Amino acid sequence: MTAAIKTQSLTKDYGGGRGLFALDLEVSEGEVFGYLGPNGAGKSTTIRLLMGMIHPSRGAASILGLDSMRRSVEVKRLIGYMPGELPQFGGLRGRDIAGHFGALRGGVDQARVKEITERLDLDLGLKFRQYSTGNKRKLGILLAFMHRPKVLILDEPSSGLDPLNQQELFKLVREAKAAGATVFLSSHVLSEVEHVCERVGIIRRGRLVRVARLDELHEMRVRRVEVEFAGDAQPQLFEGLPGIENLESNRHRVTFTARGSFEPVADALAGNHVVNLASHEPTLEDVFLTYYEDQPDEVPA
Amino acid sequence: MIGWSAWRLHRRGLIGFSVGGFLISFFYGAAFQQAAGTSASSQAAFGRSISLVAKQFAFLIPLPVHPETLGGYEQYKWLSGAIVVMMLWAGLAGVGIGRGDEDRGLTAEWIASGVSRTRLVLARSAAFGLVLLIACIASVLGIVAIAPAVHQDPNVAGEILKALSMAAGLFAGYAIALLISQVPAERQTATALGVGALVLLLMVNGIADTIDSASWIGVVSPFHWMERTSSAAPGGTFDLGATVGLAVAAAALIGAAIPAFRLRDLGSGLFTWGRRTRASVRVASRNLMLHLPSTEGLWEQRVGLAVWVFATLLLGALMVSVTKSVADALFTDPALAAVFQNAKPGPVYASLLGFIWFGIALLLLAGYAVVQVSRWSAQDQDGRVEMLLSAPVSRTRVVIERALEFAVASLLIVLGGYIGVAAKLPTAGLNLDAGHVFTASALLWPFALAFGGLGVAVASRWPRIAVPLLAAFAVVEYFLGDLAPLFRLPDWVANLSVFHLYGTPVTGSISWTPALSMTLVFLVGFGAALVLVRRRDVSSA
Repeated sequence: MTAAIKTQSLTKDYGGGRGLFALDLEVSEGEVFGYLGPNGAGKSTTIRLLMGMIHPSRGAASILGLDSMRRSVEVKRLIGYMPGELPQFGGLRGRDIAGHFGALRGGVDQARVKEITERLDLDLGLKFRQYSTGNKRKLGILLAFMHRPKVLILDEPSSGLDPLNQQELFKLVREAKAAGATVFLSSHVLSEVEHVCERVGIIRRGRLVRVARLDELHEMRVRRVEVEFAGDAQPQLFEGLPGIENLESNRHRVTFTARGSFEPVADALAGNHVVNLASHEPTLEDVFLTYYEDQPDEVPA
Repeated sequence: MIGWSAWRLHRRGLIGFSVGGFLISFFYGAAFQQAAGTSASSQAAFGRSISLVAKQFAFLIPLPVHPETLGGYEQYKWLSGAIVVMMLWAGLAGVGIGRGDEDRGLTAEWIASGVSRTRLVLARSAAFGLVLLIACIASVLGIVAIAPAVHQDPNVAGEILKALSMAAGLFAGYAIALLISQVPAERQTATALGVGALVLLLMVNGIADTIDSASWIGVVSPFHWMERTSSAAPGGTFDLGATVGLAVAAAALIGAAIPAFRLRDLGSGLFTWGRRTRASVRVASRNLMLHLPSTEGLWEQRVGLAVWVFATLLLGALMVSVTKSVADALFTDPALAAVFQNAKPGPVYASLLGFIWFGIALLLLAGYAVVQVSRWSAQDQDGRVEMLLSAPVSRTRVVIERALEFAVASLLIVLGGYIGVAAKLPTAGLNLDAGHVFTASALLWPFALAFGGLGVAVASRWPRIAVPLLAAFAVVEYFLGDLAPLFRLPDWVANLSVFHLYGTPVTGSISWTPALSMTLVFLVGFGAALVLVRRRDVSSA
């Protein structure tokens, strides 16, 4: 399968450690890719580089084989873009904004506009300044989806939407994928993307620290273990064991996190009088958060 | 917190007007001896000639007081013009605080953070008032600084009192624009009405100053009350009552703006007419004006542009209709009549029309260019350009569309002015050559294009500082034409001023060289914009 989005050593160095550094990423055609990271990690910088808004310090990005910077106009014919925040359109009405951006793309598919506005319950008769935050996001969704683009680049699309409209957005994404479109979706909340994405990339401090399928992330289990002894707690049993972290003890109870295989823990407990043993399965969010926390940058990709 | 934010938002204007004001007053002072000579007799003769000639310009600039002194000369030559320019700044600030902050989302942020509307208006107004005061003082300090070097009295107290009077009058102008900006729903309309009201008050003062029977209408204009203080000239007067009155009027107008602001919804005008229930709209507009960025821009600012066009039309007609009265009033002075004893009535009227209409039209068009650049700059900063570029639109096209939009809008304004002048000319009794009037009007367009070209260039590369940059350029250009002869600088230096390039086509021989030169400036600015816009990052962040 060919790459719909490809970056090679893509770098935007703002100085002082800020920016995006040596991003190598491929998103296949027809894939829904989630791009995750905390605020200020470099998500919007990546998107602006893909959109040709800012010049890379090094490296290159391409969309469907077209260089994002040099063939910017051709690239944007293929793209539907939703920025993190819509600009101020002041006194223009929603219908004017949709008409303007539709015209810039060669014409408006009124049936498609009607379909999306009905699904999102968006009134295009209001002036932009009269729109609530949620309605502005809906207008952004309309502008991104109304021309049935081959590639959708959505910057935190579900923020500001109520749960019903979030579900409608995810439906639109799934439909776009079913129609063969590629979707690049940024977010800082994993739960937003786990409904629709097949793979996610996690970015932290301008560097891509992990690209994985969602099920692979699930497999990276970090269990929270609680052991209750009949007598005094014996934390020394677990000290130095591989994958054991955050060891704490309190009278009869020892708690720790266990990464990877559980076998060393089972071996350590053999012959001891344990009255209770609990192992908590991590949520996907917990897995995701481990990448947000301070870690060395050399996490295996 | 709000006070600090309010102060920070004016820092560019503060620096620009303070530094610019100081330098211009300093350089005018440095040129004083070149213009007036070094002996008491030559300076007295110089003062007499200035007083005589100044009467024909009394429509816009108050008559000089002791122009044979440095302070009197600067008061006439620099401070009178500075007041007009700074009043435009004050008007734009009033509208910006009244409506611009709202469009940028700042007002909502402040209110959401617990700042009351009253406190918001008071803090923003206090910050701007302080900025105005500093800028006014800086504008007279150049005179104080240069005075010893040209063997003149620094007149420190008089200069500071003049600055106080200016600051009070300008603050009243700011408050007028702030109050007016509460009424309409659109920022563009508020800008046109707020700034338009100040231009109208300038005209009202001009009429009151030159036509005795109409002198009573001057009381409504802050320009009238500022003129009552002439203390920048040694022996001039400081009208304490007028200055305090202006400050009190400013406070009252701000006080009226606060309940108006509290009564209306954010994003709406003060008055809302019955909202009708209607079905939701589910289709995109088919308006053909929305098909191109340039026509979309014209559509979006249609109300503001219509105000500019009709205001120019009315102003042109008004200026033509008062020219004869003003000229005839001036010629009742035998001394002034002697100056023009060899001149025929036609050229005298043409000369006066050239000053009171075409001079104003140049400033209006330069002001329009600054307003447009301000709009482009805001579009860049709030992500509008980023959104436009997310469609299949090249950066080159953005520049071309901006240039086209500006060209069409400025042409409409020029046409409006010409229609107003041409409609009134046959009945005005001025006996002017229609061809000259048409040429002078037509040349306003390349003048506007020259400013627009430079505006497109700076907005394409440095959108965040484009407005102060172009405004500073306009001020330097305006005074360059004035200062170059005083410093006996070569012609090519004076020709760097677009105002100088425009010249006086309504009285002089018709030449298309200035038009070509100004068109060249437009093309250079436009070409630079095409190069510069490709190199920069576009980002609202």
